[in-house]
This record gives sequence, C-alpha cells and structure tokens, in this order.
Amino acid sequence: MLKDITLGQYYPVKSVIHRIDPRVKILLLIIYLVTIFMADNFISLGFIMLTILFTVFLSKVPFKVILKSIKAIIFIVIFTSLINIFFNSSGNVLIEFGIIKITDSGIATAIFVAIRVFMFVVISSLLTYTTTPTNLTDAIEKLLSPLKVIRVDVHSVAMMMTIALRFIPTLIEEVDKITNAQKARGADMESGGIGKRIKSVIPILIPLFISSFRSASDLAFAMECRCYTGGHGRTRMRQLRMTRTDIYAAIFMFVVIACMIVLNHFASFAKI
Amino acid sequence: MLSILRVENLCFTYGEGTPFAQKALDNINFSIEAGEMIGVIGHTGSGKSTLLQHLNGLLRPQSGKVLFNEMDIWEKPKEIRNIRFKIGICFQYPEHQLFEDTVFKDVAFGPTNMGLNETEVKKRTRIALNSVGLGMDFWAKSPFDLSGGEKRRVAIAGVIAMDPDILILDEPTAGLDPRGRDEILALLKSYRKDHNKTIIIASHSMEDVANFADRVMVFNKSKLVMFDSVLNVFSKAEQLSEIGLDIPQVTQLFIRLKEKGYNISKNIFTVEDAIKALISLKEGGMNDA
Repeated sequence: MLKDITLGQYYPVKSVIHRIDPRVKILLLIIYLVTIFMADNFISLGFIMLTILFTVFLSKVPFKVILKSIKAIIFIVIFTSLINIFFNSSGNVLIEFGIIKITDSGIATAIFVAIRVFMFVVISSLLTYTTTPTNLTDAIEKLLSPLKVIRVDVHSVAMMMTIALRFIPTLIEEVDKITNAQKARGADMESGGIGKRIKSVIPILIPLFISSFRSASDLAFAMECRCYTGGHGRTRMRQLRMTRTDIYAAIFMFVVIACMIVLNHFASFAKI
Repeated sequence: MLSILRVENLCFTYGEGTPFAQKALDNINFSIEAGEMIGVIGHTGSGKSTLLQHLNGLLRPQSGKVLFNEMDIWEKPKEIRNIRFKIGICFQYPEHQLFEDTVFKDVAFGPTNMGLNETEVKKRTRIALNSVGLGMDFWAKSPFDLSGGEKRRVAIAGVIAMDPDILILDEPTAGLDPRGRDEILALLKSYRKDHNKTIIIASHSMEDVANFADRVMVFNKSKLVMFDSVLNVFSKAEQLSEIGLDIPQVTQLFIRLKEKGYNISKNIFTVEDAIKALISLKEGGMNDA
C-alpha cells in the first residue's frame, strides 16, 4: 500500500530525458505546466497530450510506472470532475434533477479539467522519475541562488529537501516494519469505523516518531563528524553542466509552445 | 508425530514485474513437529526474514502453501488474524515497536486485540511479564525508560502474552551486550521448558543456534540448503564455509585439536560439551600414563 507512493522515486534507466540537465528540466517543467494551462480547446489539449506521451516514450519509463502516480490522484480528479458536472449550469441541459442540472458543457469541462490534471501529474512525475534526488536538490539550490541576495539560506533549504527526500524510502521501510510488528500482535488496520481506524494508527505513529527523532540525531552527528558546517565554502564533486541535449530539449519546448499558440488561434471552434 | 507447521513449494519474489525484482524464496519445503526448537541460519538477504513473515501470514505466498496443523493458513484470508495469534512472531529489534506509556499496557496490546475479557488479558500479561523476568516493579514504568535488554524483553513478552502455539523470533539477541544476550536465551529456554512450545529462532550466532536448537535450517541464496540436526549440520563445516557461514568457535577449536592428533571428537558444539570432553580427555590421558 505504502509502496505505491512514488514521490521522489527515481527510475534508473538511461534515456535522453534522464540526460537533460536538472536545472533545465525544472525550468522546462514549469514552462510545460504553463503551456498545459494555455490550451483552451480540445485540439490543443490533444496536441499537448501527444507531446507528453512522446516525452514519456523518450524517457523509457514504462507506462505502467507512470500510471501508478496517476492512481494516487484519481480521487481528486473524480471529485473535481463531479463538481464541474453538477455546478456548471451553462450550455444545453441534459438532465435536470431538482437543483442539480447536468449540461453538455458541464460534462465537457469536467473531461477537459480531468485530462489537464492528468497531464500535470504525468509530466511532473516524469521529473522525479528521471532525475536523482541529489541532482534535483542541487538544481533547486542553483535555481534559487538569486534569493541569497535577500538573505535566504538557499543551501540549508536545499539540504533539508535532500534529507527529506532521502528519508522517504527509509521512513516507508520503517512504517512497513512497525506495521508488520503490530499486525503480528493482532493490530487490525483494515476494518472498523473511522474512529477505530484513526486509533489503530497510534501504535504505528508513536514508534515512527521515536525512530525518526533517533535517525535525525544520528544523521546530525554523522554529518558533524564529517565536518559539515553549512553551505559556506562547500564545493561539489559533480558540477552540473549544460550539454547539447539541453539545447534540443529547449528547442522541443519552443516548438511545442509555437504549435500551441497556432492551434489555440485556429481551433477556437473547439473551445469549451 | 503430527507436523504443526509445514511449508510446501513456497516461492516469493519482491517487486515482481519491476526492474527491482528480487527472488527471496525459491521452492521451500519443510515440516516442523510440535515442541521442536528450530534454528534458522543464513546470511543477510538469504531469505530468512521473508520466510518468517510467511509463517504467520504477514506475506502471502506467491505460490506454494503454509500449513498450520495441516490447514492452509490462507484458506480463509479474512481470518488470518487468528493465525497471527497462534503463530506469534517477534521481529528484529522488536523494542522499536513499543508505543504504550507503561510496560503493562504495551504487553497487553496483543491479548486485547484478541478480544479477550479484561481479567484474561491481565492474567496473560502478568504471566508473560513474569516469564521474561520482569517483576511488578517494572509494570508501571514507561518502556522508553528501560535499558536495551529490558526493552527487548518487554517486546518479547508482548508476543508471548498472546500465548501462541509457535513462537518465532528473528534475531532476538542482535545488538545486545553479552549479558543481555544470555538473559534472552535463558528466558527462551525456560519458556520452552515450562510451556512446551514450538520455537523458531533466526540467528547469526552459531553459538546460540548450537546451544538451543534441536534442528537447524540453513538458507543460502533464497534456497533451503540444509535442514537437519545440529550434529549433522555443524559437522559439514566445509559446506557451511562455502556459503559464508561459520561453525561455533568451540567446534573450530576441537577440529584443530583433532588435526593436531588429540584423541577427541570433532562434534562438540557447546562450551558445556567442550568442558566434558576435555575433562574426559584429561582423565583418559592420565589413565594411559
């Protein structure tokens, strides 16, 4: 159950997408997300969907793995879609049921929003699938470095993120172990009402907190033993460097945006 | 005799269908009789822990069966909890699972989950705490204020309190000082003697295994390579060292003595036996002189 959480889960294969400089990847992701929002009709949206599928294909991450990250948000999508269906009152009424009116444009909007959210999740999860957590935080540190001017301790923020990401699998493992131990003592986590279920989490939560504090202090000691004193004067073993791949990626992005603008202009008949 | 626990063609692979797939159990077959004390050895990643998790239904076999009293434990998946009460398992570093504010409450967690009435819960908790040697002065303490060995005993009591037919322990002495280790082993021995239970212990310490076990399972690369008496397993020293396992240190000593030409048995596995053997050697030697 917990193993389905794929956040920060790097998928180790070699691909063009894996090779893109993480800084470029983050920037391109942000641009991509904006582009998804730019799409205002089904044809543009279909186009961007194709480009995203193409990117997934390039990344060599199996579609099954990507689907897992979609599964995690399926309820949010269904919820927002239902709200759209029930509360959008423009367009032709298809079914009327008391105050609830279901209209064709309501359904269209619901589908549109659902696809958009799915695209969002797929392209965002692709970033974590194709970038190691260390690279990711290095890139974030670099990208945020202008904030140093206003005295933000960018290095500490990035280090905290690295540690947090690093500890997700450790914590998941710990939760698994504790859950097994409590289940072995007959803890029942699968049945009962909501109150009972909340209560059944306590035997897992308390040991988890204790072990987290323990690993936090162990880690702090280990870092101090290796003379960690913060970001000042710290050098890197691996420098991030731009390569030709990054230029190709940028060109690809540019083409996608250009196509989007054109499609939005000419396909306004399919607007919702 | 009737087997209390039997495993048939058990296979398990972690992360099946992903690039991380790893075979953990490969066609395991064995049967254990009631009242036996079994040692499980094999180095890290050999499949020991995975096997133990199958025995009380924390993992479901991908293929094969686990039979408790000749009944498939997964016959009624909804009642798997009842199996967990009958086959108690205590994991590595079990003190990490403590969560209640008093020792007594923590040990009572298992029996309470069984749905027993309060008097019965209290009775079992008391018996369990006594059998791990934690007297009344410990009961109201917070488990987090205890020493490592004491915490471990609380955790073991938490499993014993369910009064399982089979008690499984994964590395019960890992990370303890020699004294804590001896205490745990002694209490397990006396628990077995008093209650005549089947006990399965996974361990990295060959001395421990030689000391308590009737029969020993040896795991290597997700396969069960040996399952035999202590004598038969530890007399295959070469085969064991091939898979990266040791024999007890006293046995190593006795094998060397034998090589040096002393008239002595190679099959000495515990310090007590060693003392006896040395005394009889000395007396025998004197008789010769």
